[in-house]
Amino acid sequence: MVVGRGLVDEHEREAEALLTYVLGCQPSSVLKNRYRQALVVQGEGVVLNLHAFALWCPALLRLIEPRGEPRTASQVSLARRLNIAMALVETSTEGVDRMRRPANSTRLAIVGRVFVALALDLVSLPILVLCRSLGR
Amino acid sequence: MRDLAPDVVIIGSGPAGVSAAWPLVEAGLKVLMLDQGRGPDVPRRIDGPLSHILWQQDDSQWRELLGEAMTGLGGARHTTPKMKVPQFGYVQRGFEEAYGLSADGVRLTGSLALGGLSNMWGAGSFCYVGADFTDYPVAAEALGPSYRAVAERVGISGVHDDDLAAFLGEVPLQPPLPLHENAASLLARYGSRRTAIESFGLTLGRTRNAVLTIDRPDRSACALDKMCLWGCRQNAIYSATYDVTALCRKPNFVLRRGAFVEHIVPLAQGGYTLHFRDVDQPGTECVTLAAARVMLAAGAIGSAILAIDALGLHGKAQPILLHPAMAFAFVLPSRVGAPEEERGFALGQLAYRIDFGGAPHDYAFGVVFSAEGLLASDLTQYIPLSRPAAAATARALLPALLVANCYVPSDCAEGTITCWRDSEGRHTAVRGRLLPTFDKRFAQVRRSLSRGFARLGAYLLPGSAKRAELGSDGHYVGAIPMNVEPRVLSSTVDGEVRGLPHVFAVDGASLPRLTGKHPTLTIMANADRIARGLVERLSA
Repeated sequence: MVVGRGLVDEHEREAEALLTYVLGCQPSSVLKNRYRQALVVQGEGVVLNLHAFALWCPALLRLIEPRGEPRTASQVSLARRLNIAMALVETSTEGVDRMRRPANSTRLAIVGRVFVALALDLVSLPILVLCRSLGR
Repeated sequence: MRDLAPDVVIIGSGPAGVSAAWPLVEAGLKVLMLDQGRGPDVPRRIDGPLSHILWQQDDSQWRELLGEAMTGLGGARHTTPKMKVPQFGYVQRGFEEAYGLSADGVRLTGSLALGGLSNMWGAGSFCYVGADFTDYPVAAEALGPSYRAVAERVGISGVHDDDLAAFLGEVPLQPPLPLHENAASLLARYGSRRTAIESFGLTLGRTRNAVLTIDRPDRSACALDKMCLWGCRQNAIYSATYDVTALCRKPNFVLRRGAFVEHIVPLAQGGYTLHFRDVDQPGTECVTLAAARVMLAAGAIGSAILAIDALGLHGKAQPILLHPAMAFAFVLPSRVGAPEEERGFALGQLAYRIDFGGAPHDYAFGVVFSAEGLLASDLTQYIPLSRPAAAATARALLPALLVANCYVPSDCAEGTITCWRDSEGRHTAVRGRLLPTFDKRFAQVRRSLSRGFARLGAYLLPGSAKRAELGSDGHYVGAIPMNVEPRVLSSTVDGEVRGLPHVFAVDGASLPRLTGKHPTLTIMANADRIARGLVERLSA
């Protein structure tokens, strides 16, 4: 069981991984602190058991993130933390550009990003299925 | 007035309570309103349109949108987005604990706040007309003057000349709010494809909202800042608190805040003793107050509990009506990725009716909202993609979305309320379930809406059709229904609770049936009617 300073470090790593994943770039320390604060007020004290690869490269969370309704307890926890990260990102200075439409984004760019994101999801799908199978 | 015995004591300060108070106060009667009267926790920090709040590069925006305690992060999915808005966190706080409530198959919704649930009202304002009064001991004509009086006081915007106008009732209206581009596009196409749409049993028109479009001395017209879900800055959206403030200026009206009424005890010589707790002074004993006449306006659950208590009906399940609801999301492909509108009104845009082809009162009714007042992060939870893909999709979809709620008559569900006491105090169990007829109605509504709206250029988003949890909209009614045929817990056509002379049920508890229409305006009009009836009786 991680306690004290160790727990703070674990939450820091989790915050960095999840926020980087939804933000698409390195989050500020203000945003990471806000994430940790959100975990406290939401009663989410336990650190997510994220794989070292996901901590090293948060984009790999795409391979383990549950799509649709989460089924297992670990999926429920991950989905809940991602919901928190998404809301914090959208209401933060740095996330505004990512989640809402800035004045200088063209319609083509917005639709283009959807296609790129969908393509990445499609490519990651076989690996996601493989990971699930190996997990069982 | 403070030193004199009140002619009428009203329990509750929500839409029904204030609607009952006005005719009494205007007739010169002395009225005392008892209410726990909880108020907002924190003042608003930021003014201006939602787009400015989100884009103004202000780090404090998260406090506004999620709340200092981050209550806006709540994981539970809410039927009404307003229910998770930090600004309205105080509205439902303490309700379940105060009444010792437990739930089975329903979500408990109620309020001890000043103005009650109207603080987070969706503002849809519709009259019952014609066949809507089936099973009611009162006719449409009896409620007409009350509908008009309430509509005048509240301030309702809408139109008198579309396909739904007669169905929504003849009341004074302020000019309509401007439509969101998506809704305007749907309505324009409906005009030219009406016959085809009607073949799906679907009728479309503009909705009516309890939102000002003309300034009043104490409230301003809608500023179109899209903050409707987050707390209207102009007080354009009606809340009963505005009426409470206005009533408090009258010399023969007194509001006693901090009073949570525990019991109504009938006295042998007539009249009642009210026992209420002063919530501002915890630990003190109940305060007692003599009352000749009492009006129950504590919400269908609160009023039912008080009546069950006074009648000694503990341990016996009493019927309560619930409003079965569903929700749908539609996308207009032509608007995907389009610029969000800088300004606008972010609540109901259009209303629709779907006839089931049976009795005239057997229909579904719903309101269509634009989605631009929502946060994209709320939407991503419903998109079965990875978060980055869902975020990109939500951002592109938000300007193209329309969200529709839909209600079917209350006979598609059943519910009960049971109160009992033990050594630990009072307990109340509320149970509810959807009946098999609901599934049939749900399928019919989905079919009609998806086909009808597709003809108008809006397509049902796959997986978006959802059944709402019973009770999550706050439409609890019918616990003390006005019945011609008496039942144990019921009221007369004058609203008087059977077995409790001079106690009147004036809130949703008195409605004997719900159609597909949202009942708030009818609850208010009925409260007004009952109060006018009492004034007549007293003056006779």
